[in-house]
Amino acid sequence: MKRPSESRRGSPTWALTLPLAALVATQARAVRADEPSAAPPPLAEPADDADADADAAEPVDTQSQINDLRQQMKDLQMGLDQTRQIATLRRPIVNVGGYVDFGFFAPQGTGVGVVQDEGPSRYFPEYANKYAWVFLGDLLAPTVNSRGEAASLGNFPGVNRFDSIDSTGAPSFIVNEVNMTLTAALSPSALATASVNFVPRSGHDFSIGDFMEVDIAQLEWMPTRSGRTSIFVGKFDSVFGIEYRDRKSNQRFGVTPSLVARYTTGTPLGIKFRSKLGDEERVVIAGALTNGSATTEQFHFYDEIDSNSGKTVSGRLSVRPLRFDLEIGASGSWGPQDHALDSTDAMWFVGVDLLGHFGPLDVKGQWIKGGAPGETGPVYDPNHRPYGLHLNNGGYLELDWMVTPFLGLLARGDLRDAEVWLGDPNALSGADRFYLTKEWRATAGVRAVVNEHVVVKAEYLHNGEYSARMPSIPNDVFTSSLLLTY
Amino acid sequence: MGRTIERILVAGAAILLSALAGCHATDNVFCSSAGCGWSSTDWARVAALSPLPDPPPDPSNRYCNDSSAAALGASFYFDPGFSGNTTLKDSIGRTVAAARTPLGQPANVSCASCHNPTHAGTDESSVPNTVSIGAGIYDVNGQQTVNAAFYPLLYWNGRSDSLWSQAIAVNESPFSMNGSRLQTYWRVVDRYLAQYSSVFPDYPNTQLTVAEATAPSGKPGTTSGCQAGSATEPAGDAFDCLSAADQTVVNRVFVNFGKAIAAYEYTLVSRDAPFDRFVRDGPGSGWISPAAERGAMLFVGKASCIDCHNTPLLSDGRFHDIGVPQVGDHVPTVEDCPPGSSTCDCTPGHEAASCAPSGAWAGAKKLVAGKFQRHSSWSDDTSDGGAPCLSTEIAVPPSCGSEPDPTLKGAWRTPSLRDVALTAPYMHDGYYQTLDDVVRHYNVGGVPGAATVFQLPLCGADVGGACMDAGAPAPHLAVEIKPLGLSDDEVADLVAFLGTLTGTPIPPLDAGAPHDAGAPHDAGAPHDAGAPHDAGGPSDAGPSQ
Repeated sequence: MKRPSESRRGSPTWALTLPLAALVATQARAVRADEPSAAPPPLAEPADDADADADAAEPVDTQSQINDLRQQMKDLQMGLDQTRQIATLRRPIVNVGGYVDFGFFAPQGTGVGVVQDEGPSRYFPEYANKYAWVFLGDLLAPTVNSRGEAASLGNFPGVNRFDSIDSTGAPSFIVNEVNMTLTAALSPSALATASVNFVPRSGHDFSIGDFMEVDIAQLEWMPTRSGRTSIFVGKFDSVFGIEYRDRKSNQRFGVTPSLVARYTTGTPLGIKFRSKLGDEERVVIAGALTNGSATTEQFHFYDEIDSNSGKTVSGRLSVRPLRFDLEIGASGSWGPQDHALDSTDAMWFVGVDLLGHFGPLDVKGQWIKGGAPGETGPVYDPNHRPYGLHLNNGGYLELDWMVTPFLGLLARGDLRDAEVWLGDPNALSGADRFYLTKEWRATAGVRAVVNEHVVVKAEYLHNGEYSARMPSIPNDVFTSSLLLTY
Repeated sequence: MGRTIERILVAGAAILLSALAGCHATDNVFCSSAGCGWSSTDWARVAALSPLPDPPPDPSNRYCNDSSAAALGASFYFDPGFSGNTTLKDSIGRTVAAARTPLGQPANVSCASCHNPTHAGTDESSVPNTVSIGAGIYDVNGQQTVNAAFYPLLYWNGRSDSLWSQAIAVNESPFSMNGSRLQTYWRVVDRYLAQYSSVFPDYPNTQLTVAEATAPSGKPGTTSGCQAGSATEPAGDAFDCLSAADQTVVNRVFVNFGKAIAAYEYTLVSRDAPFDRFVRDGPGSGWISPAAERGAMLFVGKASCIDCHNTPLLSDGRFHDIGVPQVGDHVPTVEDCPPGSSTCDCTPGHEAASCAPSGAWAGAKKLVAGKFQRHSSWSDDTSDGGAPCLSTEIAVPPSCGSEPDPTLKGAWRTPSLRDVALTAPYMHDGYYQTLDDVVRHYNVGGVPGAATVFQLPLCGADVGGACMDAGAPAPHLAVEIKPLGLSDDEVADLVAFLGTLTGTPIPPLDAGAPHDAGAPHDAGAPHDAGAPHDAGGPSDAGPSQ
């Protein structure tokens, strides 16, 4: 039971690389066959004629003839090169694909995932004199699309965020993103890929809110004949966990990402390798050396251009130990904290995951833990002060069931237990802000495959707080997506 | 498949049509229970700010809700005859060029001079009005007496724990009223005896026993015991030279004088502001403008005002260093208070109770040393535990400790925002003239460097003298004072909101003042040197008559 988009899931670059390479090779041969007849005859023939003529004709300057022939060869070679160049330029080496993701969402309340803990009746008074502002909940919990954008980020002190949706709780249609993916086989073993998202959003005060982002810009090279090892350079998918594989709207079964997707589905810059080992490729190992972590651009940590000399090392080892299609993996990353001006303190993540395909049912699960020390010391520098993070626990378990080839159902449970802070709470002036998250989420979704180009998806997300001390924040979301692929 | 697509299309069309047709009704479908634009959390916080209840009872003053005591207190409040002569001194003993009257002349000020009840109990008469002017010049801006009964601690620096003790302290302050308890005694006995006896029947003994008691004024001196005729003691040390029994009689009248004023101040409550009606009737009720409603959201949200301006009083009653510079005419600075000074000692790390710029630090020390605390023998309920410790986090005695909380250095009491549009200038030293200035102060996180006055340098190899260890609790700017990121529009919205907090004005008192009763004490004393308080009104109280 195969969904139309299934070929893009799993290892999309692998799936694309070989057919495209074959296509390029075939077309290259075709171009050579179609080369104009102006091409010179084989050099051997005029040489034979020349020898015959030399016997019968008057003696000539042999050296002069050689020079003429050399010049002729040089001209012919130049002409051949020019012809090849023209032919190469005519080849259709770039494939264009992508999708349009159109949605409708309706958040509960004001669409904001956090409340500020302030005033005389604080839920957590112990933080009152350590942080200027304390927030409870999960800012990204009321997600409305596969990008992970929240219905509203709210209006809170001390920060002027780009609130990309800013619905203030109103239901709204939305073009989540228009994606264009360019792939080009540079050789039978090299594939270049670029993915560009166009995101129409509201402007404010005469500024244009629309933006464009490049989330993939990579070159994949397969150095071995088997094609089971790839080396990537550029801006690529992370190697952490499994959710990066369906981070895009056209890859995702449902609409929204998990609560921990912000840590694993970013696209860092650097170098990456991946090897598939063993019979039936039951072991896969991947590693990357990148500027920063695999956090997403939606999240505080993301740091596209590095601000420190140290790099982040990440990797994943997965095995399929059983006969049926069940993959179990372990991931980790370690490196200087994103946005830090030095490489002193490390930000790290570890996690385990599983991915199973059982006929029409897919099972996905991931657990992750992480931390970052944040700023220490009395000097306050809001421009370059990294966030601190205690990701105590986070994860999800998702079931994707294609009931019929047309209709699919999704159920997912999420958890995120985290503390994020900006500034040093032990410094004399205290810290700026503190986010305390004790969040759980239950998601139910439906997916209708109209045809190979049209998919309709809808989800209801119930966000809740599991700590008795946390306030209940009304921030459920209904969201939907009409996906048009091309 | 075809039927499913058809259903999807029909459902989509239904959503679209409902959105188009619903208009306001659609809004209501998607709004929270608190109202459109309001989160339930924010509305709950706003709703907690209104209405203003009755002031909490003061166990140490059983007359605080006694209407007869309030009427007598009103007479006292408007009577300038309780003030002494002009000293031309400021709060740290420096000679000033001018006050309300020339040096040595009756200051002729009443409580109402600097606390006009019909104008939120604020000072409209001091010129300039950054700090208040009486017999001398004060170090701080006059605070409201309207709603003063709600505070657990009084004064900008919290040095009194009851309204009555605050009133009698002001009465004897040399740069405020410069009265004295003996003068007050005589004023009460001469002019208010019948009414006083009616209000305070439990204290019938108002008769002094010795000849010295005929001295028209006097209050405790700096040297213990009787220094008869001493030029350095107030009024030749007349009070200290009274017998203990007579001192008790005088003190009792003096305390009851304060309790009557406190009873009057218990009636000065600002109510029924447009904001109160807005809370009562809900969002969109029209009692406040849309800008003010947005300002209310900011007040409980982004601007974080309710961190300190909370409860229906719109004050937490606590003390915070919010980064206001200690500057201005007659505002003493740390530089004005060198180590060892007898009038103002701000030795770094060892500030004395006289260190006026230290704010609540000095207030805490004075509160502990005060003779008229709420749990003193002058209380009407000595079982009362007294006031909370003066702290940024008010605790309950006896956990106060011997030394004040060091974070009180540079901290001042959170003022109520009720009637705030009437109480300019703002901050403890009148640093800002407009509410727009005040909001912008918070928006930028205070004035840079203003809060570092009492902050010792971090200890290190290159630091000599007093210092503190990194990470140690230390006096500092309140952690909430950080740049807020409010836009100009949001600042304007907040100012609009603050304008909705003005309550129904306190009505002027009737002219028939009972304090005219009784013959003036004719000892030729300065206590009645001021203009007799006639029925024409409370002297310079302005529009109160």
